[in-house]
Amino acid sequence: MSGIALTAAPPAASDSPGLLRRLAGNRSAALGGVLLALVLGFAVVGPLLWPGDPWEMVAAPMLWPGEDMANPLGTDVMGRDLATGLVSGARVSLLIGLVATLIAATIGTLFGALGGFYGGRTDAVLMRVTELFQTVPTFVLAVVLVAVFRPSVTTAVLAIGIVSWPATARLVRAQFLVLRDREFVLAAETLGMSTPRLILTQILPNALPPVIAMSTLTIAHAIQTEAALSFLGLGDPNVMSWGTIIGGGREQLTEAWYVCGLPGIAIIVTVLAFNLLGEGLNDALNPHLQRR
Amino acid sequence: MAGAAVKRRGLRSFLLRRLWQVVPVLFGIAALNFLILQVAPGDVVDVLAGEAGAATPEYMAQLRAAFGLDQPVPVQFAHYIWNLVTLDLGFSFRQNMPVLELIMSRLPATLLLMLAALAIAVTLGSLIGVVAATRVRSWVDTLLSGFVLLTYAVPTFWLGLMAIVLFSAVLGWLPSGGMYTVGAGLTGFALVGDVLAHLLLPALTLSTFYLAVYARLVRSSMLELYGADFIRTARAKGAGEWRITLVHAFRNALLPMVTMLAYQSASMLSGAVLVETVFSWPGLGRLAFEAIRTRDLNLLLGILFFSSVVVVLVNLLVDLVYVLIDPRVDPTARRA
Repeated sequence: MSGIALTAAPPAASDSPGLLRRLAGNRSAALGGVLLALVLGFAVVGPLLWPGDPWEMVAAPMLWPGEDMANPLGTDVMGRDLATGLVSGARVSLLIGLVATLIAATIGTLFGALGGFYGGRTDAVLMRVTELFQTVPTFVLAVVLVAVFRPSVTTAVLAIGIVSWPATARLVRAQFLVLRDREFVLAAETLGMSTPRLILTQILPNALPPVIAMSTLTIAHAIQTEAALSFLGLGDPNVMSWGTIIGGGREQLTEAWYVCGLPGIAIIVTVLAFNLLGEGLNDALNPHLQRR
Repeated sequence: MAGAAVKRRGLRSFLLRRLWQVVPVLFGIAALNFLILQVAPGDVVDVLAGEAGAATPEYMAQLRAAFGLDQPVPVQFAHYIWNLVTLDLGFSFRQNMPVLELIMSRLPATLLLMLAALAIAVTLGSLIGVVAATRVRSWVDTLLSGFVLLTYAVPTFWLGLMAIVLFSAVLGWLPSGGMYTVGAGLTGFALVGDVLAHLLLPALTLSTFYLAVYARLVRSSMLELYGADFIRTARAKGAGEWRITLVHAFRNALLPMVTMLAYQSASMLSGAVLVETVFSWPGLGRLAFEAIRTRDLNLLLGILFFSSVVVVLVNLLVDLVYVLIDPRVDPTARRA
């Protein structure tokens, strides 16, 4: 699990040294980076500070945060430690957000690349499918998928990945449409480069930067979707996620609102971090685009 | 006047053509539903009839025959499509009602919630956007961008829960859930007022995200329009700043908002599921939540299909509104 948390580091470290400096100079990217570092630190160091099973009942129920320093963030209605639960939630959210985004980015890139490169009928068919997925209310589709295939981390990741790819597909397609007719691509084609190699080694690397920026935003959305799914009771029954804690705390909302409140703040901070970072990446990768 | 007649005739063929374009989309949605049923663990009928023996064996057998499970998949698909075309979405044994009837009974509440949220989002969003655009880089503008960032990050259902804590538990201003006071037996205006009081929190919660989106959109399109030639002309003719803002710029800034609306009808339905669950609002979303709780998968699939149809219809409606409010749009023009 910690290995996965580590790979969630900002995907900013690409080949150009100027990018990192540009990112650090960008206010929203810098703030996003700091927030993300906090969340990552919480996910990595948390288990050392609050070891143990988040499901275990360790103290009196409904202890308010700060009431007992053994449970600094308090306990829920079953006497389970909230700090331990929040750490578990951080790891689940990052894991699901990241893997689901990877799936979405892969499907989206595949659809967009094929449609943009071949055009014509292939493009028409692929775009119709994309439109279809943009018409269906995505969250309802995710709910149906998870419910039909039984709630688990795997189904959550797959369902979120399946509903999140259309935006990436459109972006990649637009990129491919532009890049396909550029001189360097025509040159490579003239040299007799095979189509798969042309796509993979010539066009794709040039189409990727905005995809990375968009994927950062997709992670944010995936984390929100996961929280919403587990809030509705469609989370993995063996995994304590932020949404699960909020869903469980609903019954005692008025007596102990912090049980719902704290995980929500954790979600906001994490989503904000990825959103800011994505926005910053977008600016840094498209320096010509003036922000309005 | 001849122009108006041409436009009206164009509108009709435009409508017919758009209606025709809807068919493949609906077919695609049905195919998606069928695909889910096919890959689902267990037999299609197991999924459709719900689990843990809620359906009678007779109904299961009847369903198996209706689906022709012994027949090749294309035939099964044809059966499935035919069922949908005849609006037969099956029967919910948990709720003891046909799925379509269940959905129809819950639809008005969802539409009311969505329309209310939309009205709030459009009104407040435009207001904030216009104010921010007239005072670029002032504290109002900065506050707006902070607010937008925050609303993008706040989960809707969490916002709803916190609103209940604040406005209903702590302040006691508004009811925490439901659509009307049960057992109060209110009628007439008292009932309307009661429903409105129940509607306010869920509608505000659902609208927050869209409010931010619209505010940002209106702000940027207003800023763009301020540099346009026709605004300069209006200014040269001596129109007051308020007149320019409202009559000239804002009217045109409304157009991108209508476009956005079409994009967001799907996401708003998704949001309604969560908001209705939080506030026990008796609409489609709450029905979906009940279906999840009881593992009534057929009902859930019916809701997915039906809500997709609603999105398609809303998109159609938005296209129509667009033609009506923007005289530059030529309904007879074909898509390139």
